[in-house]
Amino acid sequence: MLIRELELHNFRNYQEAEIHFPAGVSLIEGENGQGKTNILEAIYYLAVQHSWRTSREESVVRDGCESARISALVENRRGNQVRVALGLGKERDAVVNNTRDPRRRQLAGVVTATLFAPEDLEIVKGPPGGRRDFIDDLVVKLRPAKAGVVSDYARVLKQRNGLLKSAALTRKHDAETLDVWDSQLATKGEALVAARRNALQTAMGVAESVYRQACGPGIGAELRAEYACSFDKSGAGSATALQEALKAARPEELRRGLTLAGPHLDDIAISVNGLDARTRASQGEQRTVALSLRLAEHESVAAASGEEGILLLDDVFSELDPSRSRLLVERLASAQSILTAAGMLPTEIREQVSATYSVKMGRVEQIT
Amino acid sequence: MFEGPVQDLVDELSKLPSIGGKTAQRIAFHLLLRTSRTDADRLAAAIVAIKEQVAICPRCFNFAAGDLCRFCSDSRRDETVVCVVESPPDIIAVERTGEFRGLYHVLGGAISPIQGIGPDELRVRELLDRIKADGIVEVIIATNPNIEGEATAMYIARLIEPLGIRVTRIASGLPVGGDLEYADEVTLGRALEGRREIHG
Ligand SMILES: Nc1ncnc2c1ncn2[C@@H]1O[C@H](COP(=O)(O)OP(=O)(O)OP(=O)(O)O)[C@@H](O)[C@H]1O
Ligand SMILES: [Mg+2]
Ligand SMILES: [Zn+2]
Repeated sequence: MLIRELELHNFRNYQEAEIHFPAGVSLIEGENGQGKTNILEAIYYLAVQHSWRTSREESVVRDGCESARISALVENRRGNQVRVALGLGKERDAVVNNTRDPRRRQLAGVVTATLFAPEDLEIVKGPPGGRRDFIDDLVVKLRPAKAGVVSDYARVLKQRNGLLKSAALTRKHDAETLDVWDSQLATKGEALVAARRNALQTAMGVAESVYRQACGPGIGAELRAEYACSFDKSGAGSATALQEALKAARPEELRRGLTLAGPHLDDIAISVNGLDARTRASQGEQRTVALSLRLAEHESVAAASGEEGILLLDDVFSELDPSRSRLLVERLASAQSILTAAGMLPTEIREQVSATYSVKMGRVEQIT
Repeated sequence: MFEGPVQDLVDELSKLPSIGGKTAQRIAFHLLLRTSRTDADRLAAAIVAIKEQVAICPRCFNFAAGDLCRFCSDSRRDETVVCVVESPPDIIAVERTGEFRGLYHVLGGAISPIQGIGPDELRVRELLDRIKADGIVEVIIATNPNIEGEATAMYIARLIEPLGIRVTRIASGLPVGGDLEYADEVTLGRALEGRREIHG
């Protein structure tokens, strides 16, 4: 799908703005704090109805205003156009082709987008939680029917922790009930590990190729990601292995009131040329890895769903050398990508761009 | 604050589940301005009647208007099969199928540690006593198809199986009467996972 027109009304620092986008690569340029990311955020909002930057919807409404509105004309893969709008703040609603819905249900799936934000560096550099969230999110995006696998595990874990917490407080517990939760955690855990491995395998084929392409020919550029199962050294993550790990951990669990074995403690070991990416890759390498993972998400979700979404790349070029930047833009053969950059980019990159916009203090101007 | 009696009604209504202050006000105004005297009397009488006439069946813990509930006191029902449910409305749902002719057992909820509900808060012991005393041969567990319902079913199954009694669990899947087209991905995904072989 493509976004053809975007209109903003009292969204962030935009009072009124209208932007037309072509297919291919669009580039939004401007100095710091002018409103580049805000444009990507608006498109992302149409796709998922929340923002990665804030959980408070009021904060995207322009200062001093009561509500904001994001409208767009999008085109699906068959060339049919759909008009969508999202009201934020006081006038909360969604409109799809003139049908208004205050609960915003019908907007689901109309606009699809993958976002790369500078914060994604944390997937590579940060603690394991970020990698688990990334993979769980991917599980659901690749196979929506697997959403239950992710949420069931989370629910069992919450209940089991609840039981352990009260056991730790009261210093007594009902072993039969805990056995039941062990068994539930083990079966749901096995299903979760299998789903995560599956998603990882699907995406990594793409991620490895993106990474190789971004690094260019002639240099070692081997990206690897292995699922690191915390409770099963054989790596399979079977229910039996988890049952045994829980049995061994039980005294400690009862003391601490917390589940100490299970896929909620698993990790993904990412390496570049055989070295741990988290601790040993350079900043630019880490950023390239993070970007490769997001592009892999984008391409594999497109392959699975049969429809490619919009690729939103915020500030991708910072920390990347000109050669990597150019090779990456070449990879963006995707239907539509919208990029932001603070400051001027080298001409080799600008040449590959279909449209360039300049943003200054909440005003957008198309320059090419 | 409203006139005394109006405020009293608003206060009482707000104690009910899922009724907040605003809704309580709306209902109170509706009763005051738009409900006829006859309808208001019927509502008041119905509330008094459930408190005066409805008891809990001492055998299965369903609601009962007499001594035992209408299932336990119906001699045509099969006393050897018991269907275990979380709450009385679940009985109505099973009855609607017209497929079940046995008796029921109402647990009064499901195991949920985060809400402080363990087996002791449910009528599990009473179920075991019934099984031992009443010559039951099969127990069908019809707790809800969610995490808490599953855990409860497993807990009960583990207690009953050693007694040499047949324990079954209802299958979960697509709501019957629903359209496949409108089933959400999760429900449909679960139904696919629980698929069975069919023989033509
Ligand atoms: N609710 C709001 N009302 C008015 N202005 C806002 C609101 N929220 C954010 N802004 C303004 O928007 C500007 C930030 O816009 P944005 O994040 O898009 O910048 P940017 O162009 O991406 O900058 P950078 O290059 O630093 O990432 C800030 O100056 C901020 O004050
Ligand atoms: Mg920015
Ligand atoms: Zn009864």
